[in-house]
Amino acid sequence: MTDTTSIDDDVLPPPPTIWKRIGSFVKKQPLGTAGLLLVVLFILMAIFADILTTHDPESGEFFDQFTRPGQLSDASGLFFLLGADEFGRDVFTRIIYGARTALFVGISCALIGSFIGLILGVASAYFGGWTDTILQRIMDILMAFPLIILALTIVIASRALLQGLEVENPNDYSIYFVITAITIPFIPKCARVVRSSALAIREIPFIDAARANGFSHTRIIMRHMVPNVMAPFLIMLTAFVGQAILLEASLSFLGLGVQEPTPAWGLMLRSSQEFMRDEAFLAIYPGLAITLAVFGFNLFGDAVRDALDPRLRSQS
Amino acid sequence: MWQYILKRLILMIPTVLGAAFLIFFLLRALPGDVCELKLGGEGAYYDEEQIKICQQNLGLDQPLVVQFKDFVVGLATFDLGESMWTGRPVLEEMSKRFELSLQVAIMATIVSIIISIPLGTLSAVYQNTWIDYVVRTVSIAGIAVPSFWLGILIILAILSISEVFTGSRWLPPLDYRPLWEDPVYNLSMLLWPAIATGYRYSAVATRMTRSSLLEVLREDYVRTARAKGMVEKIIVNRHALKNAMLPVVTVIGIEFAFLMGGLVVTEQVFNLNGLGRLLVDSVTFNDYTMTQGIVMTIVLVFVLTNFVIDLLYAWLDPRIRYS
Repeated sequence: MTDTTSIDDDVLPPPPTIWKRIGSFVKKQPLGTAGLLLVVLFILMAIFADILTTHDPESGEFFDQFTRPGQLSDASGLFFLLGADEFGRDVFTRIIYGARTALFVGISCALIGSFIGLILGVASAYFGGWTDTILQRIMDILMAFPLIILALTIVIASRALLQGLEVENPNDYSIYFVITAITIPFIPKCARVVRSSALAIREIPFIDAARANGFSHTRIIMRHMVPNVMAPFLIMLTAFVGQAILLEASLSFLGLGVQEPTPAWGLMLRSSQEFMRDEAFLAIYPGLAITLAVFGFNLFGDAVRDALDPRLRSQS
Repeated sequence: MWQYILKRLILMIPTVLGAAFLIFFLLRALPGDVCELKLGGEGAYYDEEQIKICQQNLGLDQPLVVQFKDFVVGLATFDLGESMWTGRPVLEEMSKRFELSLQVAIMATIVSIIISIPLGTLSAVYQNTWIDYVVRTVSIAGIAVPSFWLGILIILAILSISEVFTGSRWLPPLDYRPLWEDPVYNLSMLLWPAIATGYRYSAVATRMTRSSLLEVLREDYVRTARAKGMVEKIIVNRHALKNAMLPVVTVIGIEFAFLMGGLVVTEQVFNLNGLGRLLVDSVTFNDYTMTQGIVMTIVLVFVLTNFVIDLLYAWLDPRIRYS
């Protein structure tokens, strides 16, 4: 006769291996997989920028100026895969290093913004009453600004702040102000979504039980409520990365974001405008990089949303 | 209903006041002096005396509370002060640009409606076929393409196409003439930015049309219509689409409000002298009065548009009650 273990073997299917799980994700979410691949590609580009490139991202030789893509420079004999810009800098190198700037800004804005939003949203729902009302009114006010307008206002204010602090090279700090300017508009968006989920969690008796046990507010919020609103939090987080990359590019394009000579895609497009009548390639590749990166993060974000909660749809 | 409208209007006041306070705080109360920034911004030489005169002119020597009161009273009476850069009244400078931005925003909305509703419908009717995948990819790409890059591509295309056909390179005109004075000239200038922003904004509406139509197509009355043997085309166009349009209208309305902000970048690409351009310039030149004037105007348009959408939503769908 068979013993118990072999009966179990007959009844239970073997647990899916990691490869099978990946296989089913690819099958269910073909677009999401494509997005994930793009995201991984850009992350690798950002990490291994030094290995992938041979040119200096921030300075070039003036006589290499406007070397066409895929050609050797007449003057220096160097090879330029995607051409050279008006300062003789290699466009390919700057795009690879640009991934570092874009991902650094994109990921830190998304992380900080959605994390603060998470805490504020959960706290707002947990405490209720006056705390909730006041926090929600502040969020209302922040939401009354279109994203880029609020970001622009923070940029101009930060410039005054730097002037007041009398720092030596204000341009070195530009990237941190860009991050602040993009992060702040994200906070209310995330707080809103998280709060509505947290309101439902709050009504479940285990929160009352935790309170009856005499746990502190911080412990209840962090250990009991936050883990239960992870789904909307992760959805907002992934959606924010693409938006942040796009916003950073827009601000840099307007000349109000990351400053020269830092390699940034928006900045490259900004300087290409002057020369694009004759040197169209300068305007094409950086834009392609922005589009592909945002496209990848958006596709991946959509897949995360579908997997975690199809009912939650972000509107922008 | 009137009670509801009144209540919503009154609730808008604290939001707008809060926005005014936020802007005021950001621009005035942070360390760092507006006058120092204005006079020394280009590395120019200035002395204490000039700073004092500048502060007096701007009313910066007054206590913050008084300054804020003046700012709010100015807002309420539509007196936004004078530009710190040109010295002309802010409202006058803005009104010239507002017309252009509004026209581009309306045209972009029309472009996005023309693109999104047919595409979204196709995508929903042929769900999970290659048509659906193409439409979805195109619309996700629309969110990913920065509108300023799309603008640059459009300009490059215009340049090379005009060179092929006419032998010389043609660019859209740069100075604004109103639509009713010279329609051809006006449209040849503003059509391109409208397409660049419209495509981007159509992406969200396309997705909304698709998902909303998919939901409606699963409802009982659609099944009844099919059971009666009604032609699929009529079911979709006459019965389903009408009910599916509701959330789409909302999304398009919200986008219109966002457009006012989104134009900031597009106007820069096409060299349009609109409100967004003026905002970027005034930020670049540290023109505080102008910046706060434009930002408050955009906030007001944004808040009002959202209010109108809410009303429209309830009017379109009688099941929604005012509360």
